[in-house]
Amino acid sequence: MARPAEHDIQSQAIAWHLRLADASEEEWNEFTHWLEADERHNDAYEAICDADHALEPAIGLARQEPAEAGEIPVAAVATGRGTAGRRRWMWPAMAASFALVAVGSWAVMGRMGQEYTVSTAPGESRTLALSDGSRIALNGGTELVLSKSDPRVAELKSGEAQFSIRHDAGSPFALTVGAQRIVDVGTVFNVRSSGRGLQVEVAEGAVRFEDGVTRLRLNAGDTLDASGDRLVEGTRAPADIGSWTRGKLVYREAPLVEVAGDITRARGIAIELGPELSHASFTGVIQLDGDNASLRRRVELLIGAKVTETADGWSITR
Amino acid sequence: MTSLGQEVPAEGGLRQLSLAMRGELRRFLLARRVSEADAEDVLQDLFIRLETSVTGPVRSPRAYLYQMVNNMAHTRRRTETRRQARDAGWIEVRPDARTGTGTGTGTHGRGDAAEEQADAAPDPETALVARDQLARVEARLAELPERTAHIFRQFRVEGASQKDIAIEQGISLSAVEKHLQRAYRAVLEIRNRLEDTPPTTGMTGPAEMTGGFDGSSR
Repeated sequence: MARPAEHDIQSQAIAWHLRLADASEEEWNEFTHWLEADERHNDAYEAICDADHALEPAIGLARQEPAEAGEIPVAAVATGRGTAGRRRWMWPAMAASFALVAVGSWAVMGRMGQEYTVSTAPGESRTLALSDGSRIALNGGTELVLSKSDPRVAELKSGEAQFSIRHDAGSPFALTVGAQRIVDVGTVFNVRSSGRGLQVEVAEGAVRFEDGVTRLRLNAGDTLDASGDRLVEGTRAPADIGSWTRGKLVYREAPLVEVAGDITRARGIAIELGPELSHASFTGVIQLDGDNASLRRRVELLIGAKVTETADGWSITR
Repeated sequence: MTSLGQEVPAEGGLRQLSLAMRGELRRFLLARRVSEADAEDVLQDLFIRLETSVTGPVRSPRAYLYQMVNNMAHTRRRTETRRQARDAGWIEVRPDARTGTGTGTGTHGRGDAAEEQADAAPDPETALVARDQLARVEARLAELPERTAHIFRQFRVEGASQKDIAIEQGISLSAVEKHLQRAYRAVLEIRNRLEDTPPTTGMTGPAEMTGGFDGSSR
């Protein structure tokens, strides 16, 4: 058993360690005074930080195994990934205490009724301003879940959105997409979730991507394509990322399927692609302004294929 | 993106501020028992980082700089400890898996990319160690009152804020802190117990930037 004085110092060090996660400048000053008051203080503080830091691999492991029988796997359903193959959470006590909270395991907790959904129809776009100054631009055909009490979490159920996130080291913004998670390290990034999987593109700053198995850091210009269990990293000119928010679509050797999907989202036009074009790719810029007829002519010209109007949209053939 | 009305990122401002706050930050580093020479180094390093890395607008820039400097002090000390341990032959140097962290002293001025590299793909041995460690943590948490253990998991694993935990549990913030105090005492004990065993776990920690709290895991 530690001597009372040591015990007090230890308590204070733990308290500081807890407080510094979100400390104000005044608190940092106070902390400096506390450190200066007794040279054992810094040792105690470092001991607790080291002990906490040393937990990191174990915590990482625990985070990777969040699937829980009692919970509704909101996340897993969204990407169409089953829960069957996922490993079970290692800490069983979690199940009992969590069963009451019907929320995806990593997303938000204890905020039942605090969530709200913002969705856009195909062809409709919307920009949201969050209370912390961040902005989210929603492309068409998108469903996003936000929390009233915490502007630093969101869940993309489907579609595409660009996030311009105000950086806060003490409280990073976390976006959940299915079983995957994207944590900003201060940034503007674009996320698309579709049948093809998840695509993340970073225009500014950096994000951390986590899917329960892999953790990756994506810097400006990095892209990540996650379909099925495959992760493909790539690069893209940062200026091209999220170009739909500026009324145009920019591509470099992009599959036509993707181009078609983007037009559908942005303009609400259903597009059928001829089988001979399913592997074709496109490089260029498609301006989205004008009416559907002029857009159709433009697309025809740009991709060098025939775009015909059908009863419910377009058909693109060679 | 200008079309979104995004503010101009604040690096220029942060750089200026880091110069204006040099005195305070230096004092802080000395209070953190960093040597005078190393404190100068850290401040220089800070300036370079602010110059080379892109940061979004920051809510409280002064606190942010304290946070950065504090993390750098942690990283520096840990790298040093690791180097000494290696020099003393306590740790086997494995050039394949360890280059990212092993060269940390030389490269950490470049920003946190090299440090986060350690996150990417844990080698099998690291994974084994982590699993073993998780088992120990579980065992120790099981000895705590269930609510304390639950609150600790919410805080440390789920990354919930103390405020959110207070709301979820219907208790006061200071009560949450008491639970966390207790849990962290247990964590310290685990650490002290591990110290009697070969020094592996402490040396395999990923992402030096997560030292203590930089919030990147929160």
